[in-house]
Formats: sequence, C-alpha cells, structure tokens
Amino acid sequence: MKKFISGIILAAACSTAAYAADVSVKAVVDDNHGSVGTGFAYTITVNGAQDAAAPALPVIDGFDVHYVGPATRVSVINNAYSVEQSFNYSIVPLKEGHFVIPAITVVVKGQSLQTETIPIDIAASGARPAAGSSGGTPVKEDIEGRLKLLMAAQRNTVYVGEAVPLTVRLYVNQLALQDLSFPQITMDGFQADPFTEPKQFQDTLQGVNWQVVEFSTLLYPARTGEIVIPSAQVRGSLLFKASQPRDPSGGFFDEGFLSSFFTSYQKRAVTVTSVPLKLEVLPLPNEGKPADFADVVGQFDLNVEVAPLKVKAGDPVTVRMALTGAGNMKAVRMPVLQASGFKSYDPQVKDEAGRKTLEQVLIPTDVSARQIPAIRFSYFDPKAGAYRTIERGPFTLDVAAPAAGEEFQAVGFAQPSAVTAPEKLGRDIIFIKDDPGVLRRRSSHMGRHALFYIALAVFVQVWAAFLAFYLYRRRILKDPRFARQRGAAREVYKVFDAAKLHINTAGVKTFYDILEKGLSEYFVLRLELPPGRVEFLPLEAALKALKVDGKLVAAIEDIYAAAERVRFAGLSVPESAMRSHLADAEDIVRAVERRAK
Amino acid sequence: MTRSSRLVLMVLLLLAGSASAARAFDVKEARVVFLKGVQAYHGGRYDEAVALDEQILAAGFYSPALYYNLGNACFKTRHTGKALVNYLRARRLAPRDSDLRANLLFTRTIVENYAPWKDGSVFGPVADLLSGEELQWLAFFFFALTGTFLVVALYAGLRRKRIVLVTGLLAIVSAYLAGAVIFKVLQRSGEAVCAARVDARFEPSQEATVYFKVPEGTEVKILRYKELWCKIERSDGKTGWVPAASMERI
Repeated sequence: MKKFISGIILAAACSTAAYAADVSVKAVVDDNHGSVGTGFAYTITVNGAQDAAAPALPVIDGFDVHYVGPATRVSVINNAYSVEQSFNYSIVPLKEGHFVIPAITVVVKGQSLQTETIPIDIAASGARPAAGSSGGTPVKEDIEGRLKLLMAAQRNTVYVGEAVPLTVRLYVNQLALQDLSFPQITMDGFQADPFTEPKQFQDTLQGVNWQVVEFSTLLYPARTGEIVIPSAQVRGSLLFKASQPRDPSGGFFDEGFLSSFFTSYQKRAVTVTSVPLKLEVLPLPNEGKPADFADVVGQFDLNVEVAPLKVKAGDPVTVRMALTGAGNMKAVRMPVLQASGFKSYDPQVKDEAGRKTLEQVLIPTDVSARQIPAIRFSYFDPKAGAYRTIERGPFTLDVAAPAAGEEFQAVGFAQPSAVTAPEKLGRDIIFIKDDPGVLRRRSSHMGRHALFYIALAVFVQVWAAFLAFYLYRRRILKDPRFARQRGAAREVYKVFDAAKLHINTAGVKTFYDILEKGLSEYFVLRLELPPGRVEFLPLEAALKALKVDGKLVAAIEDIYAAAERVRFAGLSVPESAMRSHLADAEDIVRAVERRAK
Repeated sequence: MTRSSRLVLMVLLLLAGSASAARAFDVKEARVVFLKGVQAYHGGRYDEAVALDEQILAAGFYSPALYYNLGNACFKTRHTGKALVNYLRARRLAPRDSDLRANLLFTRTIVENYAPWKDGSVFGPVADLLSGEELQWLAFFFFALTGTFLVVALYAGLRRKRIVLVTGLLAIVSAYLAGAVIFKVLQRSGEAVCAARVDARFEPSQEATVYFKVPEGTEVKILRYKELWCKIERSDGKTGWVPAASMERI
C-alpha cells in the first residue's frame, strides 16, 4: 500500500515537471496520397499536456475540414509519467493537385507551438486508389511514394577495423507487404556481420505515420579513406486486391458485402532500394602502438583462469581465456601462450555471441616448471582513440615430483603421422580358383566310413582290455584272499591233471588220494573252510549257500566216500568210475567258480 | 513314323540321357571338367561354368574349390541364393579360406534385409575354425591319446596324482572336441538358403496368410517338412511355411 501511495505521489511530481518542460506538438495524416472525394484523417498531437484547447483549423484551399473530436492518453512506464492529447480532424479533398496542409499553431499553457507542414498529393476521383485497400492494380508511382528504404550508420567517421552499427529501415505506408528479404549490400572495402532479426514499430516521417521494419548489423571498414556503402536492397511481395470485372447487369453480387467474400488478392514482387552511404575511415595511429598489437579494434575485457594450481609433474593444467566486448570477434586472434618447461596441446578456440573462448592444456614436464607467464592482449579503443593492453598473470604453480612409476611421458608429441584422405576401395567377389584341390568322392568322407567307427570300437575294446587286466593284476597284488581264491582254482586243475595220470587199476589209491587232497585244499581256500580235513557237513552247507546243484553236492559226497573205501577197505574201483569221479570234480569246481563270482 | 516306333525312339533317348547323367567320372575326368568350367568362367560364359561344376558334383565329387567356383559362377549369373549356398558348402570344407570368407561376406551384403544368426555356443569358435572332418580327426586323436596315456601310465607305474591330472585334462579336451563335432552336425542339420524370393505363410498352403517375405539369399533353418512345404525359422526367431523347393539345403 505504501509503495502504491508513494508511486502516486511520484507520478504527480513527475506530471508537474512534465508541464513545465518537454511540451511538443506534431501533426500527422494517415495517408498523404489521396483522391478527390476520399477523406483521410488529420491528427494534431500535444505531448506533455492534457488541458490544451482544440486548435481551430484555418480554411485550407482544396479541402473540406471537419473536427471529429479529442482523445487523451496517460501512461506510467517504469515510474515515468507521460500524457498525450490528440485532436482528430477529417479532411476531404475537393480537387486534384499538389497541396500543403499549413503549419497549425497550438497554444498550450500560454506557449504557442507550431506543427509541421504536410505535403499532400490528390488525384482525380477514382484514378489512384490506395494500394492494398481497394480494388485495382497499384501504379508504380503510387508504390514508390509509399515505400522507402533508409540506410544509416551510427557514425560517419570511424577507424579502420572498428565495428560500425548500421541500420536499414524499410518504411511502409498503407501497403501490405509479404516475404521480405534481408537487405542485400555489395561488400567492397568493408566486412559486415549478418543482419539480425528485424524489429517492427511505427514512426512519423514528414507528417505521415509509417510502419517501419528495421534491420541492424555491424560493419567493419577494411581500408582507410572514403568508402561508399552501396545501395541496400530489400525484396518483398506486395499484396493487393485483384480487379473484379463489374457485372454489366448490375447483379446482386456486383456491390455490397457479399462481393467482398469473393475478393481475391494478388502478389507482385517489389524491390526497394536505399541511397548509398559514405563513410570516412581513419587509419590507426602509429603512436603508442604495442609490439603485440594484432589489428584488433574495439573495446574488450579478458578473463583468464588456470586450474589446478597444485599438480604433479606430468599432470595436465588447463588454461581458460574468455574475451568479451564489442569488436570484430571473428577477426580477433587469441593470445598465444608460450611457456617453457611445459608440453602444450593445441588450444581449443570457440566463437560465441559477443564472446570468444580459448582452452589449452599444459603439462609441466618436471618440477622446475613453476610459472605460466603473463598473458597480454592489446587492442585499439576507437572511443578513446588510444591503444590498450590487458595483462593477466603470471600464474604460479605448485608442481610436485610424481611418484615412482608415474613419471611424465608425453603422448601424442611424436612425429605427426601424415594425414591422408581415406582411400575408397572397390568391392566385388574374389576371382575363381584354377585348381580344384583334392577332388574327393562323397563316400570317402571319414564320417561316412564304417571303418572309422570299427577302428574306434576296436580301440575302445583294446583300451578296456588293458585296463581290466591292469585292475585284475592290481587286485591280485593288493588282495591276498582274492589271490588265494584265484590260485586255488588254478591249483586244483593241476591236481586234476595229475590225477588223470593214475586212472588205472594199479593207481586207484594214488588217484583218490590226489583227488581228495586237491579238492579239500581247493574248498578250504575257495570256500574259506577251516584248514585241515574237510568235513562234509560244513562243505555241504557252504555249497548250498552258493546254490550249487544238489546232484553235484551228492557227487562230492560220493567221491569222498569212494576215497574212504579205497583207502581203508582196499576196494578196487573200475576205471570208468574213476573217470566219472574226475569229471564230477571238474564240474563241481566250475560250478563253484561260476557261483562264487 | 508309326506310333510304336516313336515310342521306341523316346525310350532309347530316355535311356541314353539317363545313362549319360549317371555316367561315373574318374578323378582325372573330374579335373578336366573342372578346368573347362574355369575356362568358361574366364570367357564370361558363366551359365556354362555353372553347368560344368554341377556336372562334377552330380558325379559324386566335391572339393572346397569346386563349391567356391560354383558360388562365383552363380553370383555372376545373379543367383545370389545359390551363390551363398555354395559358398557355405565350401566353408564347411575350408573354413579358413580367406577368399571364400571375403566372397561370403560380400554376397551377404547384397542380400536384402540380411540379418546374421547369432551363435553364442562355447563350441562356436572351434566349429568356425575347423571343418567337420578336421574336428572329427582331432577329437579321435585326443580320445586315443587319452586312453593310450592312461594305459601306458598305469603299466609304467606313474604317480597316481599325475595320471589323474594329465588324463583329466586330455579327457576334457576330448570331450570338448567331441561336443564340437556334435554341435557342428546339429548346426548344419537344418541350414538352408532361400534360392528365390518367396512368401512365408502361417500355414502350408498357398491360400494361407502371408506372414513375411523371404528375400533370395536369406539364411534360414528348416524345422520340419510337410509334403511340399517346409517350416523355416528366420534369424530373428520368426517362423513360417514356404514351398520346400524354394529352399536349398547347405
């Protein structure tokens, strides 16, 4: 609330001040090209007052003048108060010709102020319709009077290389323009930046309100003496209503609002040209020119940063420079950094809007590289008319020795490899082969040969046999019981062979002694019976446990009984019975061997 | 000419034709035909070169160079699919042939929408480096070496730990190579190349909806057959039915 009240008080104070000074008047017409009978607006504006009386217009030759009424506008912008009072008149031309609306005297607070005179061209009724506002193709003279291109430099006397602001303004009155191009200027003796995006506003020129399109750029004179900036040209398309053929019958669609629905517009290319502009270009003075001056003109500031300041030898240090200011940035060469004891990489320079930056990596090669020398930048200041030098630095570094194994090794400083354009190679299939190599039959493929698989199977069997035999031998050596059992079978067959020799009537006793003893030893070892004489009952139990056939068990009992009879009763046994007993003994051993596995 | 005499003549011609087709070459004759094919290729008579090379194959002979030359001749006659098939057959026999690899690579670049099969198998590197026969021999050698070493070491009375270590390593190598052989056999079991552009359909029927297009030279896997159709799988996993005649097995 307090702020609002203080604002009101401030505004009142300002208005009081405005009354006392800066009161001005101006008169404008909305169009200074007209035709007989077509009225136009004439406005007298008083700036800085709001209590002026409506001025009485004199009788103007060739015009019928009517006062329409006043209008007042008050505005506060950024606490700046302004007031404007307008008096509007309608002026209707009565005859054709060139006329001048005279200066009108306005009395404001006792002061007499005068407006400017305004020239007016009036054509015959319907002969020169306003372009773009009514039907008909505009004539060339009419367009020329409604389009102006004005080119102006901020200063006409400048130094060589100095940035000179240049504006090109396109004034348009009562015309519709489209597709405007940027101004075209032929460069000769100067360089120029591209034009910026245009600005649009209204301006009064010779008592007429104009729509203005303003293009801006910067010029950089390249040589001394008088240089002429040639005419600028702006191209565009003029939009106007196409002529409608009148219906001779005076039909419904000939006049009235409906006809406007069917109005078509046409375009016509127009080129607006300005007058040339002269500049006086001064040379740069020799007096006070620094040795490192590199033809840089403008006003600049240089900021330099070095980081990090504490490093080990071999670690990178980055130097960053930023140049800002007004001048031809594209032509500016950044200061060259030369520091002994450092390996330096190529700097990275970037151009940004109104700013140029440089980033360079330096590497201290040993601990003696302790300082990056001062960086100097010299330029000519055209406003001061003198040379200036900016100096930043020197920058002191704290360089420590690297740890063992981290010594500095410059990478990328070897002999630069030659840069060659990449070779473009053709592409196609590689040529055929002249030799077929080994032509084989399909059936010769080893995968299809039965022999391959047979060889594989044989190899596996041989390998398995060797392995089995090894394991058997190993068990014989490691397992005494197993060895005994295997040995018992071998021995008993030897016994059978020995007994065979005594199958006759003379050797009955010897036959049965050998047979009984051999079988007993075999059973003791193989069936783990108690050593000594083998009793039949434990033997029968052991054989039955092995599920040996009962007939064979009975045969054993029969062999043992025969042996008893021969030994103690001296009975004779026929050879056939001896052979039968030997065969039974072999069968029983085979059966035991088979079952005992 | 009477009807019966015309019939007799036709039968004779048929027998003569089949006899010439089935005529067995010996190796010397096969070499002569091969060189004729080379000369035809030199002279730009690529169709003739194709015919001669196929004649050798029909006689039951093969070699990597024969498949390679046939691939080149097919390429020149703009049969990209057949060229690829023969290059792939040659690669099975001579996987380290740099000319062959280059031609295979180049031919694949001109196949429309070519998408390679991705093979993440542990056997892939060895299977790509060696031919099937080389792999078989190598696997057999290591298998034999493993068994022989074990037997000799046992009889020689080497220390048990040493025997286990060496035999274990040899057995692992043998098993890996045997796996690579099996992988290679399985890998090539369904491999095929599209010999002519064809539509893959949802069902084995001309009336079925087209699922995707199979450009000439597309490498696919044949999953199964059904009458005159086969079900194929693309490298992106999409499957569809195509006429079996449009696919050429590698």
